[in-house]
This record gives sequence, structure tokens and C-alpha cells, in this order.
Amino acid sequence: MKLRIKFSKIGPLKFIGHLDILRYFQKAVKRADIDIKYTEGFSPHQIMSFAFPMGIGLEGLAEYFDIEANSYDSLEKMKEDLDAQMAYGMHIEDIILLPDDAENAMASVQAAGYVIRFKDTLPFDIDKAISDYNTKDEILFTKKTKKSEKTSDIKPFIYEICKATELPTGILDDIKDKGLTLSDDDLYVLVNASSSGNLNPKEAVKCLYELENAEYSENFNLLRTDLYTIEDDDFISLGAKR
Amino acid sequence: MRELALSDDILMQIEKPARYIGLEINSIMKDITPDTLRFCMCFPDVYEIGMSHLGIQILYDMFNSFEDTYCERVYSPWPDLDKIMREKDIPLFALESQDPVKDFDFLGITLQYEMCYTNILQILDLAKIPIFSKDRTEDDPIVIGGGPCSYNPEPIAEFFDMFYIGEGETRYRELLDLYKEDKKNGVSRADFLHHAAKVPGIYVPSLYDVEYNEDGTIKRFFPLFDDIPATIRKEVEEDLSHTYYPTKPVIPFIKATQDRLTLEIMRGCTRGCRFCQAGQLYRPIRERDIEVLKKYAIELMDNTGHEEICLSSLSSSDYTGLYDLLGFLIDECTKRKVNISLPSLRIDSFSLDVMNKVQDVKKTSLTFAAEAGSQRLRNVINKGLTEEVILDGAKLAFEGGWNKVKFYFMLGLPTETNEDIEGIGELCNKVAAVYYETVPKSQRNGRVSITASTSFFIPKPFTAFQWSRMCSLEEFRDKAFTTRQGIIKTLNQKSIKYIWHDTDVSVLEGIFARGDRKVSKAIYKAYQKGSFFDAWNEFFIFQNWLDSFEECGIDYKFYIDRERDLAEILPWDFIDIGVTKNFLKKEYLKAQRGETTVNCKEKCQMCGASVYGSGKFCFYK
Ligand code: SF4
Repeated sequence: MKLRIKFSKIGPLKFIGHLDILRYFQKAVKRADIDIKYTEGFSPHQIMSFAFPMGIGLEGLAEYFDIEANSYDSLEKMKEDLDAQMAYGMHIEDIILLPDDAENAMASVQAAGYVIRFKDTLPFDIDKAISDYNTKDEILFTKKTKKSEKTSDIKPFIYEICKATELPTGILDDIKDKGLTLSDDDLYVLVNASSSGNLNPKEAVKCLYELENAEYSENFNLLRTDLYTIEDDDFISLGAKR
Repeated sequence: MRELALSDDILMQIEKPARYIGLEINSIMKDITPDTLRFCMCFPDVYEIGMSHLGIQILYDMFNSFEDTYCERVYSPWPDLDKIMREKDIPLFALESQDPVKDFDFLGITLQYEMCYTNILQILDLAKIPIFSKDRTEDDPIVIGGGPCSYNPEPIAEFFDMFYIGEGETRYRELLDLYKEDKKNGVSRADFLHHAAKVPGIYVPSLYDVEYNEDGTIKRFFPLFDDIPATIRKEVEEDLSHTYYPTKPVIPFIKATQDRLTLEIMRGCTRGCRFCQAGQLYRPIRERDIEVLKKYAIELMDNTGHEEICLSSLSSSDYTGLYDLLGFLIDECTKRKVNISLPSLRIDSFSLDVMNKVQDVKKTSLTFAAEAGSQRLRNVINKGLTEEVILDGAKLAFEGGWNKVKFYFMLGLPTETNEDIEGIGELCNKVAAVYYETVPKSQRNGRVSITASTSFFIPKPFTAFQWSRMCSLEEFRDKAFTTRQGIIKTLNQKSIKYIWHDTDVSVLEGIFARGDRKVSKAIYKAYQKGSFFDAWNEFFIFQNWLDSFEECGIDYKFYIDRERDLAEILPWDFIDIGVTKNFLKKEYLKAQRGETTVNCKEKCQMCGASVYGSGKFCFYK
């Protein structure tokens, strides 16, 4: 049976990269004695797949990975057992039984929400920046990579920009529960996270700076609030029970 | 909440920030009170290397089992962070509490290899602890060294307040109690060191002095006080089955160099290879009870969720219960999907059968530590491995489906001739021929692959070759060349790959291994010139060292390019490891004559190690 594990990662463990988190969970699953399925062959490994890698420095409220299990007593007990194996700042938030034909987590991800917590005061007015953004039909933005530069309209890749304090109370409570505080300037962006059109949230922030003619600096903490799949124009959390 | 010593900005700038944040699963968090004895345990190399080391885990576990003590860890900050810490004046901190190392009562530094000596100075420097013991004050931690290199502590003696000679399980409690008592009574640092010098196994270098002869050899080594011992006897844990063992080892987030669990099955080695220091240092041979080991194995797996477990010892094939233990492990590990990585077992039908069960034959290679190319030279070094045994083992392995073989050899062994060196190619060639004879064409999976890898022989203290001359750079290079020529000459040369590493670092290792107190000046000088991480090719600058020796007026060849007289006082003679100098002398002379000595299992050679109880094969009257 397919299970989806929802976890959070707040605090110093944001400095642990994706591959190490993967190894960390492989061990945690063993310690928690979860009856996970293994691949066949000479060196079997656990069937486990992550929704979206977390880069170094990123914190997350709702991250996901899927596993296949042979058996379990109860999801609640499994959640407790696995949570007991977590390092400081990590928690198992939920374990969800998926339908057998469910798409795997990675393929499901189409959008990601981020809260951007600025460390200094911004060199522009956040309300004005958001309204400037909203009034534009098109925002040309130049993406620079090591090899090339590409200019295109960034707006289709940003689904929403608003002040973080305007988020629904459910998310605000979650943020507060984790001991994180929001200030009035902090931002929320919902961006494309699909394999074809993935946008780095930092570019959305950069785009606001450009819009306000301010010099960009990466002086903020990034918190991923959730991952979503899109169905009939609705954003549905990967952790939604169905 | 505990704050990190490094800011987010710094952590985002450096490679692998996970090296510095602590919080690993099974790492220990304790409340700190003014009475807490704080011990900081240091492995002076990068985190991933240090975290692979069992000894540190044993001591970490032991210290933290003491209620009044909190032991934390620190490793060498990588050069990227080193630079930032110096620029921003950030003091070195311990991983658990993130508190400055300078605030601790003790800084324990493990000395696993000579090439980490400059890293010790980096640690002290970053911690803002004076580099020389004599400059430290009541505010500084007691700096204590231990581990294999402390068996010749003299080249680094001036940087340490004390050394713990021997196995850590036995005397630390006594030392801590003494410290607590002295602290309560307001005893000065100097007096505490004097008291500590009376604890068995503890060597306090500042309380001993050396006089030299005109030729630079030692005239006299003596204690400055009558009430401290003139020789220090190594400490030995006599009962391995009832002592500390870390069954809840710290699991690093990032991959350690040895990313697996370690089950130490015994200490000591039955074989008496004359070049091997560990074989002498860890005598007598002591085994851990098999039932204890089974219990540890299960606990280790339960407490870590690790994917691999490895048996550790110097000669696992000699462990009495090996057959039983492996049977048990294969069952348990298969159930738990844990890999077993085997130590270098002697190749015979039993070990091949086991390997067949736990490894993918096609992917793994067989290893032979032949050490020398000819039987004559193998006799000189007392490596009890004959050509016949090698060829038989290879044949069995080829029949079992293996087609990769690795050989380890040493170049520059005492009495070595060009013929011995050419023997390396010849032996590899014969093994290749065995493959083509054994495996029919239709079943061959390509060519047999044989790798011959050579390292340079470095004479070490407390071995039969502690008096031997070490080869020069030029000689080593010639020998490597001769080895290659020898291989190219053979019929099957296309199946043989030859690997050798550069020599500069071996020379330095040779100097440190048998150096005396005078060498410390040059280590300090080289560090000032920017040398550290010398064990890492990319950071090793040989010229720094040559310049440092010259500026300090030290002829470094004195330490390597010289056969020592048997009557000479050696810098490490004041340490007593049980094995006597007389025994080593006999072995040295037998080596010159090409005579072998049978191993402890066949017949006890009365080496002296039986002064400790519990030697499995030792003859006790
Ligand atoms: S006393 Fe005998 S058996 Fe014991 S270590 Fe020495 S030689 Fe081996």
C-alpha cells in the first residue's frame, strides 16, 4: 500500500541537503520499524520517493515523501513511531493512505508556496510593490544561468503574490506553532513547481525589486509552506485527504 | 534554544555546513551546570573522517555515561571556514553546545596519524588556547593527547599538557576524579599536572627532560621529580566483554568516510609482522565474547537504522567464534536488509563462501596483503603468506566467479633487492595465469583484472624495524619505477594495473614517526607558514617543510636516513607497551637473517605482553 508522509523541517536542520535528508529518513524508517517495501535484487533499497528536494537553507512546513509498505497497525501509531525518531526541528505531521493508483508525489507537484521573511527593512514599500505587480499584464524578466540569458514574461509562473500576514489563519497558526514570527513586510508567493515550468521563488522576489528599481539582495529566510497539485484551477495540497 | 555559533550567512557560504551544527541522531544533549566536568573530544581532521572513527565513539559514550561529565565533539574546520573564523574572530566551538572550546575543562585530541600534527595547532589556535603547554594559564583547558601516535609523543610533546598512553577505558575516571578534587581544593594547574603524572598511563611531558649527545642522539631522558615514574606503562582494557561500547553511536547527517556500523570483535593481532606497529601496540590478543557481540550487533542496528555493519579487528580470521558470529549476522542482516562488510579475511574456502553470501561477486575484488614480492622478503618481514597460499586462494576465488584481485605491497623494506621488487610483477603474472588456466574461455567475463598497489615502507616505533633506515625520496621513486618495469616485462601485463602514490608525504611521516622533541619547532614553523591538512594532497606543501627544517637548524635526514645502533636510546624508550625492547631486538636480528617467527596461536614467543592479564594465547606461569 502506498503511504504519503508529511513532515516539517524548521531550524538548523535547514542546512542538511536533500540527499542527506533522504539517507536520514531511510535510517529513521528502519529505527521506527516500519514494514516498508524493498526493491528486489542484490542490494535492496527502500521504496521511497520525495515530492520536491529541499535546497540547503530552506525550511518547510509541509514536505512529502511516499513509501510503499507491506503492512501497518495504524497510521496514527506509525506517525508516532516515526516522529519519535526525528532530530531536533523535524516532525512527522501526518501519514496519509493513498489510493493504489495515486500518482507519485514528485509527479503530482505543480505549485509551491513560500513565505519570504526579510531580515532587514525593505528598500521599497511592499504594498506598492504588490499592487504594481498586480496591475501589470506582463513582466519581462531576464533569467541568467551560467550558460545563457533568457528574457520572458514571468507572470504566468507566479500564481499569487501577497503579504504573508494575509495568509489564511490555518497557515498562520502553523507558522506560529513552529516558533517563527512574521513581520508586516514579509511576503508570500505561490509559484509554478512543475517539472516543466518550475520557478525559483527567489526570482519572484527579484522581480519585485526590479519592478521597484531597488537593488536586489538575498537577505531573507525562505520557508516553504506547502506543495500543491492543480485540478480544475484549484490548488490542492499534497497532504489533502481524499 | 541553543544558538548556533555560526550565523546563517556564514553557514550558507561554506561547503557542507552540516559539519558544524551538531544535532545528529544519538548525539548527547545535557544540561550544563557550573559543576559539570566538560570534556571536548577532538579528531584533528575534517568531520567526515573524524566521525568514522570508533575510538572517539567509545570515549564519547564512556564520558557521557558519567553523570558529572559532559563530553562534546569538535573536528578541524575545513579551510573555507578556517579562513572566515580567523577573519571574523570566531572562536572554535564544540558541536553539541556550540560553546567555545576554551571554556572546557579538558580538550582531548586523538592522534591517529602523524600527518594531522599541524591540524592540532590549528585547533589550539582557533580555540585561542596557547599553542605551547608552557604558555597556558588557569583559564585554559587541560590539553590531553591519546591514540596510536601518542606511543611516540615526543615530536608534539610541547603542545600537550599530558598524554594518555594506552586504551582509554581504564584510567579516565581516575583522572577526572583527581581533577575534580584538585579543583575543589584550589590546586594550581602546575600542581594538578604533577598529581596527574602519578596516574598510571599518564605522561606529562613538561615534567621530563632530555639531554642529547653531540651527534644528536639521546643521552638521557629523565623525570624532573622523584615521585613520578621514569617509564610510563601503556594502559590495557583486560576485559573487553564488560566495558564501554557505543551501541548508540552518533549518526552523522552527511556521509561519513566509513559510512557504517563498527563491531570491534577483538584487539591485538596474533601475527607478528615485523613492519606493523598496531600488531605490537595492541598486544596481548583479547577477544570479545561472542554473545556480547551478538547483543551489540542487534542494538547497533536497532539504534541506528544503518544499512551496513562491519567487523573490525586486526586479524578477524583468528577470532575463535568467527564462524558462529558470521552465521548469526548473515541471518539477522538479511532479515533487516543490512549489508555486511567483511574485514580482510584470509582467503580460503570458508571466507569465500561467506563473501559469496554477502557480496556481489562481480562487483567486489579480492584483496591480498602480500606486502612483499618475494618469499625471501616476506620471511624478512615475517609475513606468513606464501606464494602457494596466494595462488590456491586465487584459484578458489576464480572458480567462485571473482575476476578482480587487489594486491598490496610495500617498497623500501629492509634488505630489499631489485629481485624482490621484480617479484611483484612475477607474482601478479602468476595469478593472472591461474585465471586463464582455471576459467574456461566460454565462462570468462572479460580479462582478469589485477591491481598491484604499492606504498612506501615507513619504520615505526615499537616494531622490529624501529632501528631501520628508511629510504630516500629518490630511492623510493627508483623502486616504483623498477616495479613498473617488472610488471611490463610479464606475459600478462595487460591484465595488471599498477598504482603508487607520491613520496613526499611518506618522508614527513617517517620523520614524525621516529622524531624527538626537537622536531616540534619545525612543526610550529611549518604551521606558521600556512601548512595544515597535510594529510590532504591538495593542501600538502612539501617545500614549507623543507624550509621549516632548515630554518630550525634540523637535519631531517637524521630521523630517516640512518640505521640506528641497537644500544641507542630511542625517543620512545620511556614508554613500556609490554612487548620488550629485547624481544624487538631479537626480531630485528632474525629479520636480517631471513628467519621467521611463528604466530602467537602456534606458540607464545614470550614477547612481554603477558604482563597484562587476559592475553588469549599468552603463556602465563
Ligand atoms: S606473550 Fe606470547 S602470546 Fe602473548 S602477545 Fe606476546 S608472543 Fe603473543
